[in-house]
Amino acid sequence: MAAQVPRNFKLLAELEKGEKGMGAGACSYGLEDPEDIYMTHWRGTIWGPPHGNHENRIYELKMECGPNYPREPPEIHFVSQINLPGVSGADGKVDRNAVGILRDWTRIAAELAKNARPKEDPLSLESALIAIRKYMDENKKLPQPPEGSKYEIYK
Amino acid sequence: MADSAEAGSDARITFKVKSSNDKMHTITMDESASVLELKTKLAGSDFEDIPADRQRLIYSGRIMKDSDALSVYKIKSMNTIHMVKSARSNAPPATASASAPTPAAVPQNMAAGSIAGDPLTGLTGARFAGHANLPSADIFGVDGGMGAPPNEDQMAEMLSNPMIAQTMNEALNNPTFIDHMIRSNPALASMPNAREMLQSPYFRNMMTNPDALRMAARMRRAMQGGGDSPFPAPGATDNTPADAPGSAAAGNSGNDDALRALFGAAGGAGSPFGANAANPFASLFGAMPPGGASAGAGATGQAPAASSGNRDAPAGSGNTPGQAGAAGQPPNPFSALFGGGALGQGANAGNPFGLPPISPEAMQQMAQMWGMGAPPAAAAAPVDSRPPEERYAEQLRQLNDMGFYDFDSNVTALRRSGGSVQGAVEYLLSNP
Repeated sequence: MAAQVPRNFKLLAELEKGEKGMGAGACSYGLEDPEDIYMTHWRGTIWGPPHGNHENRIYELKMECGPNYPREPPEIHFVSQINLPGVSGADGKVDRNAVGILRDWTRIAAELAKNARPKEDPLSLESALIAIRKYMDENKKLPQPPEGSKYEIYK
Repeated sequence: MADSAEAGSDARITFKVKSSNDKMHTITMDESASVLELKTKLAGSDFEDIPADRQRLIYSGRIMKDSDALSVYKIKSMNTIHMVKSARSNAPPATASASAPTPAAVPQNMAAGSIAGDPLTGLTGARFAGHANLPSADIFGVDGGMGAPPNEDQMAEMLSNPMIAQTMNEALNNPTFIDHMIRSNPALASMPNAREMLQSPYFRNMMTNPDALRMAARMRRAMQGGGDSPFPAPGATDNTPADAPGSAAAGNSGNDDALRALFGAAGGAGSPFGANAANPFASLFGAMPPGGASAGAGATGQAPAASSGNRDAPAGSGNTPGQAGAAGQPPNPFSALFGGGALGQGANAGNPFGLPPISPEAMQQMAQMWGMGAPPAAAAAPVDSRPPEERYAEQLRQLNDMGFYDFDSNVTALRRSGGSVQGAVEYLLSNP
């Protein structure tokens, strides 16, 4: 059984990628607190996908990488209010079942642990954000709360 | 980990700004400078040329506030700040949230669990983002489901839905809609009494009564001798719409005006009230063999006769060999049949065509008789120049549903069967 890349190595690589802006350019992410040596709490932003009600908006999210990351998916909340099926209206929590990569995360992770690692790790905070963005794009016609509004608990 | 943020003792940092069009700028600034100062700098024409209030800067997953100093964000040397252009000048999101206590007017909770039961999540899931091929448009049938326009049966089906019927009624009650309809259809525009016609209860009934539509469809098919070609597009060269008024008028003496209007309008045929109204017979014949010059001549030969009231004289000369049986009778039974008011006059007792009123069944029988009696007419089916996937869209879809996937052989089979699905299936099964 191929060894899982240790959590901290993976997160460090992701952090560097995020801070250097080497990603796709539709989202950004970084540590909530740069001094957080456990790299648990992350911040993310998604540029609203164009041609819809998300256009020209920036959505803030927070992500939590538990001790079992990347075997288990990060827990993701929207900080900016969004009207999206599968996103809790109370605290912006993203339902794992709503976004394919989060739903299948553990399965894919188990698969990756068994087989040779592909060049590009399909599981990362960035890929989660991009998947959420794509999911937003699929629901771009839904009416949205005023831009900049946040869930009560983050105010 | 990379060097810590306090690398430069002079508290100046160098970083990159990546804009939405993938331009990169390398900028060096004091750490104590505010975000607004950075935006002002970026607003310069040597950088992005975007007003500061339309810039949004994002570093490491957070939106930078104008009032903060750059040091707040602990930007590391040579790291990247993203710049996103906003559409209009918004207040910065952070202050907006502070000054906007009113929560969304949008449903707060879209039932987080609802997605679990959604049968389409499997298809729309984000895991398909580049990892797997989405199903192609083929699953909707040929042409991605853009098949022939709905035929009367489908329309009737649709109109059985009370919601749609009501919408139709409302549309027809709306004078603006009627205006639009008249203006957009040349056939209607050239008709002086189009408005009254469209507003008449008869027409309303025809447009919205599924039974009437079904009956019309049945009759039209009967008159075509079984070929169920799709409803022709406006301007199509074959003249099936022209025969529809005739058949409909004959079968439904109460509603015939409305029917004719309906099909004239729907098919886009020019002036449905012209020759047809005077002599539905003409269109009836005209429809049968467009290629057959003799039959066409017969039809036109009869048109003036019937409309002028002189039913007997030219009828014999106008008749084609295919109609020889009928032609022998001195009072032309067809003209009697369609003469409307003068029904009794020309009818001879042995001729079923002369008997009023004529039921759709009788019309069907008559059509069958003609179909058998006039083989040249049947052979000269209207030449349809449309490509097969369009002409046979409905049939191809049915064949696909039955499990015949080979497009080429499906088309071949349909061609041989003249568009009949049953015939095509028989052919496909016997020629695997």
